[in-house]
Amino acid sequence: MNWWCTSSSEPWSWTWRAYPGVWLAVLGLAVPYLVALRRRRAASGRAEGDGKRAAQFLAGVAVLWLSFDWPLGLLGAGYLATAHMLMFMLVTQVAAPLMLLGTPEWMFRRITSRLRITRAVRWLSRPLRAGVVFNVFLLATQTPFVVDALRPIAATSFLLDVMWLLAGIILWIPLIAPAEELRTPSYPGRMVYLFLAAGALPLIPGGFLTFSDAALYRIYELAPRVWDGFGAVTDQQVAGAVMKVGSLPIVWPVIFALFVQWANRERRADTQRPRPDRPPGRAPSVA
Amino acid sequence: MTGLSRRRLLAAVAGAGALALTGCAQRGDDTSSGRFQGAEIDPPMPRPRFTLNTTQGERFDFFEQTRGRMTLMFFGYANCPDICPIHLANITQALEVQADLSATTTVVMASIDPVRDTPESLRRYLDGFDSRYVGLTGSKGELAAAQDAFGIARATEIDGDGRVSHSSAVFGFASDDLGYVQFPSQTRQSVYIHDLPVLAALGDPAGG
Repeated sequence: MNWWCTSSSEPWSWTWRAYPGVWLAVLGLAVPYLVALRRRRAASGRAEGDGKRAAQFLAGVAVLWLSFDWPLGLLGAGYLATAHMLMFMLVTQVAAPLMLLGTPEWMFRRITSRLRITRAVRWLSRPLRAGVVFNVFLLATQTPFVVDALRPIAATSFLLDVMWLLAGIILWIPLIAPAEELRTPSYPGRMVYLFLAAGALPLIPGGFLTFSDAALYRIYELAPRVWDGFGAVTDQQVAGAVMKVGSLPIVWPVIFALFVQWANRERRADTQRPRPDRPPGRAPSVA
Repeated sequence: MTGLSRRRLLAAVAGAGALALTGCAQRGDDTSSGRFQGAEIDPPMPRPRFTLNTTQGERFDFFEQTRGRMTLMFFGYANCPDICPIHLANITQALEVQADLSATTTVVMASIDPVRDTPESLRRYLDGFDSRYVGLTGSKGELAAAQDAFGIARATEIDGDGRVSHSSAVFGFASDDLGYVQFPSQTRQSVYIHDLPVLAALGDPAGG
């Protein structure tokens, strides 16, 4: 029994398999979070938004579980490039932002301080750096050579999945970091950043997968077929399409939400700005 | 970070990505050196002689009916969970890429599971890849003789689970009726895409 999902030459079966490493990883995230939250409540009382944040964090952990465990984790680790890409999207575009949203500021500061990564996180919080690093992670962890080398062994397969989670966190830090000073202050800047980093640049590697004549990933090409008629090249083309458009259901609603927030903020600022026909210093009252 | 160094950084990332997704992946898994990426047969083997039945019930003299044509031939079975469908899928993809070779190449699969592979089920199976592929069946004795003609171990049924242990090699014959290359299990599409034109050129007096 493997502790983490790996590639395999065994024919695919819909029979459930246990991956205890995935359960430990999920518990390793959820239990310390809940314990820390409980201790904080005991010491300082219940803070506003705690329940919502806990729900967001646990939803993120649940998405991680869904991504890494059987069946999606096993399909992605060894049978279907499409499942592999779906896992990547779920981890970087859903689980990572939910976990960031669910992390209270005090917990975030404590974690970064204890891990001595406060400066590194501050450095990475600049949109250009975060965007470049995320896309380097994306390319490095989607390269056929890397995937073919890492997926057959449980430890390296685990490492690949951890890198995806880290990449997702890095991507979202400039937008929703729990510490406000790490967030990009400009709304247009946030929208452009998200569009370029998560929406536009992945089109390039996605295009390679979609338009390649032959299967690029060895493990998916030589894996026993999951469905008759769903060959390796078709699978790869679908995976490429997922890479190209899979983030859009997240990216565009977030951009829209940022736009609405920006418009509201501008409107509020306009109403508070002194009008030329009024004496200076007298702002209109806000309803 | 200056504008120039930012641009350099982005250009380097884009370049590395392009290389990563193309260069690294286009390498076939070389199983031999020389002109083929598949396993070269040295010296080349003559096209074997054996006779089986097609899925239409006609007798098929392998030597006579594939003579002068580039031929890919292997032994397999329709219930094979791994090797056979992967071979067929990868050959099909390679012939789609090398479309000019598709019309001049005969692909033959002889079933080594005569009990379960009826002519109809074998035809249905092969049609899932390409309706031009030739499916052959025969009695156990005829199939044993065919495998002997290739010099490969005879297929044996693995007790219990319905799987059959069989030679996994696809034999590649050029139109000069010599077999030059074998493609073992786990042969990638890129290997077929590389080797089929080489095989075609060997059988072509002008190109070989």
